[in-house]
Amino acid sequence: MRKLPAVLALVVALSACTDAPQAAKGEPPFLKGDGTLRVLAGSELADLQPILDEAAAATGVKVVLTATGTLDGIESVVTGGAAKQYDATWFASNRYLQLHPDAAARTGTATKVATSPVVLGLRRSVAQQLGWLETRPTWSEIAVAAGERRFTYGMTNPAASNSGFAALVGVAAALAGTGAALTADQIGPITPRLRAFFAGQSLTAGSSGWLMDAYLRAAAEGRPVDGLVNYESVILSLNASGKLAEPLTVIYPADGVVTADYPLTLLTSASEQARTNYAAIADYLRRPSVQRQIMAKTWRRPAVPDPALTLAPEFGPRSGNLPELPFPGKLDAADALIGAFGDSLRRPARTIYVLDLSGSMKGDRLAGLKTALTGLTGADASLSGQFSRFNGREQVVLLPFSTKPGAATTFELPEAGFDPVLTQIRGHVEKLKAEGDTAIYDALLAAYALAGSSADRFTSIVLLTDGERTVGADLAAFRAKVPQLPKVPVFTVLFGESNTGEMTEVATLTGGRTFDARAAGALPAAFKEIRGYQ
Amino acid sequence: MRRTGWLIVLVVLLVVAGASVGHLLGRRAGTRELTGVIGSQMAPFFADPDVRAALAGHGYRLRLDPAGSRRMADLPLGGYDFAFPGSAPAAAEIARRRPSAGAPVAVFRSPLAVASTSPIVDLLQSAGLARRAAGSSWTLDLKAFVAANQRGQRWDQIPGNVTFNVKQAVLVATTRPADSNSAALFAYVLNQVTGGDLGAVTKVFADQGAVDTTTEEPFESWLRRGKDFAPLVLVYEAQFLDRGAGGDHVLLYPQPTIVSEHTVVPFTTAGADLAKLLAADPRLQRLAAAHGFRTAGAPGAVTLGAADTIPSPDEPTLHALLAALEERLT
Repeated sequence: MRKLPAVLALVVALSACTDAPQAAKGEPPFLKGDGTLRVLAGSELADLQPILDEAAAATGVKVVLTATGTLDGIESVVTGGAAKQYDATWFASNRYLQLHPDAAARTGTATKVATSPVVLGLRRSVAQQLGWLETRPTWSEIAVAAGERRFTYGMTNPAASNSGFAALVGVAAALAGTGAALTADQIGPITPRLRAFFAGQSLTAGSSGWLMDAYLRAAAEGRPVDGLVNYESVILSLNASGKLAEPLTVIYPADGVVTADYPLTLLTSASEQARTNYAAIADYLRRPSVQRQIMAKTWRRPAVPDPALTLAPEFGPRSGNLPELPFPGKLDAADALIGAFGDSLRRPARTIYVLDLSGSMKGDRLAGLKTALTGLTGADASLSGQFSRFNGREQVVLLPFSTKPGAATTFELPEAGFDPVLTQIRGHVEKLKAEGDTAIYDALLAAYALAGSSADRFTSIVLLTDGERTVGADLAAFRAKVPQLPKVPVFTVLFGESNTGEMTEVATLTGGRTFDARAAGALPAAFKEIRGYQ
Repeated sequence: MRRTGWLIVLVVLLVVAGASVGHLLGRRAGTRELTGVIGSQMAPFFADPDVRAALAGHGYRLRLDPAGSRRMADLPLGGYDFAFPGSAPAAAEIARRRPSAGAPVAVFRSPLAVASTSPIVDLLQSAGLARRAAGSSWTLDLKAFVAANQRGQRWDQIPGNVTFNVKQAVLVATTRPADSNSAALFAYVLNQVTGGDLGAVTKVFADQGAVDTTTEEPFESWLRRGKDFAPLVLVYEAQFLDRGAGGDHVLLYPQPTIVSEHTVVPFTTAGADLAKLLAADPRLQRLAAAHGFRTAGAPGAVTLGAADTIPSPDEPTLHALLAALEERLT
């Protein structure tokens, strides 16, 4: 027992050095919670993980982020699906969500955590040539220069990712030029100028993270893209990463921007404990000391109006205004804009589906494939289904294979009145039959022969197979041919007993991505997600 | 074995020490924990350490969810001890959805106002939309404002404008009337000013596009980003006096305006006790006044007479207007 005082001293010493983090000087003590806060979040918020780790130590609340695409996330909130699995949402913006009549009853307190405007980042030399280092261009001037191919850029798909959607809204509002919110009937008159703007787009993606990777990859392969339309935070983070051969100059359009404000939003279904946890996390994230960290680590601007939170010099513009452009106030206007983007504004796509119809696909697998493809012809009435339909002006090529590559069938959708072509695709898909061996790489090479080199289209290949190659060329043969093939990404879908290693390598070799559809019923969601990349 | 034994003792001691510290911090004798849903503009008041201390002195600790005052009625109100919306009509609507434990209590007041900056106010003055009133206060002529909005007036069309030469409509940034009390009352005032011209009232909101759901959000965005966010933003006078004054900031009073009664709707006995305390406790009333609210003892620096204000509508009248407006806005 004589040793007890020593132990007590040790206890004191230990508790002193394992002490929970202290609030910054001048800030009140941390609010405390217990357990987790389950958050359905935009994928670009993953860079806040280090901040959330510190928040967990300070508040006792572990924030668990589950990444989702914009429309999928919104759909999950408005249909009530999110309420079953999550306590809160955290998207770049709630603007589009709030236009949905069912959102009000599902969402409660919102806490804005940071802000970032959608801007154009351009390689410095290109910005200089265009004269945009001295004079800030308007979105109209940017659209004209893009239409004349005086620069190229990458941007995410507005139907899949918030940065692309915000960019589309911003450029449309600026071109409409009324100074008030865009209405559905104003889209027609500005269509030619919007088309010019999108003619300069040479890189597309379903998420901001993948867009960055594709941008860096293009530069590394000696065919650099001139710029990116994305959040200022993404451009500044890229500059700070040291991965760019030439830094990007942030162009702040003179007529304004659309700004993300990252509202951490409580779902009305959240439990009492989750509400307490939410309050603790919201309080933590809005502390000036934490706002400063968010700015330093993620290049997002503070949301909290504390005059001590001054912006780092990298944030512009150095002179003049940066007015906020209005976001459509009606759901029909926002939806019409997303719809118009796909059917008439974007550079049209040539989309080649390489489909395994070997014997192992018989039964449920073939039925699943038919459902997934039919969903893209307008049969899927959900929010995400609505905006992943095959688009006006798109070329859809179906290339089935088994022992040998089958006959390819090309469907060309007109700009308007494309329902008959969608019906033809449905009819064609319905007749697909499974039989024979699996000549994966012969089929893939046949798809490349069809891809050609069409500069005016975004061309991509989707490869779906449920097993190993059994006949024809193998991966080594394909790998050897890659340098001679056109630069067309292959999006591989893991299905059934796919060879994960080979499918991942095919995606990596070609600048594509792998999508996992091995879970039961996962194929339609995978096909919809791929639409963001096509 | 010996070491393992000591380790166990150590762990037990740590757990006991931790638990007792937690006990001391978390459970002071007699503290009542209340949960409430409050208008966002009240959040800074309740976050004030002095307010927390004053409430703790009376044995209260609060967990508060800010929400748009007009949305509160649609929220699941079951778990709350009280709701604290920004106005009497909103309180009436909430009490209709969940029976209150005692009458709603008006605890402080604040008129609707518009926050701006002096270069912008100069432009408004030259466009005939604003004028200096008695003392240092300014008024925004709502009749002229609606007329300008009907014409599609933009900032870059105001002659001699070099300070905010931007191709944007002259608008007051508000919240959504269906969600938020400040915008709802503003819609009511505009409806009175235009003699019930619902089309004109609709355009004032529709031109803004998608907006926030609580009054604190646009106000904070304005504090952070100034005229880049919006050159004019609808606020409660209290918000501006509490955190907006200073620099070249200017507060305008819409002519006419409306005084909003911030009203507690108690759902439980504890909520009713808190409502009485907020209304009657001299220290809490003083603190509310320090946060810019008008109270019985602090009627406000700018006198608003009968000619400057219109009376608050009753809930059925406001509800009908908002329903008609919402139909046109969505």
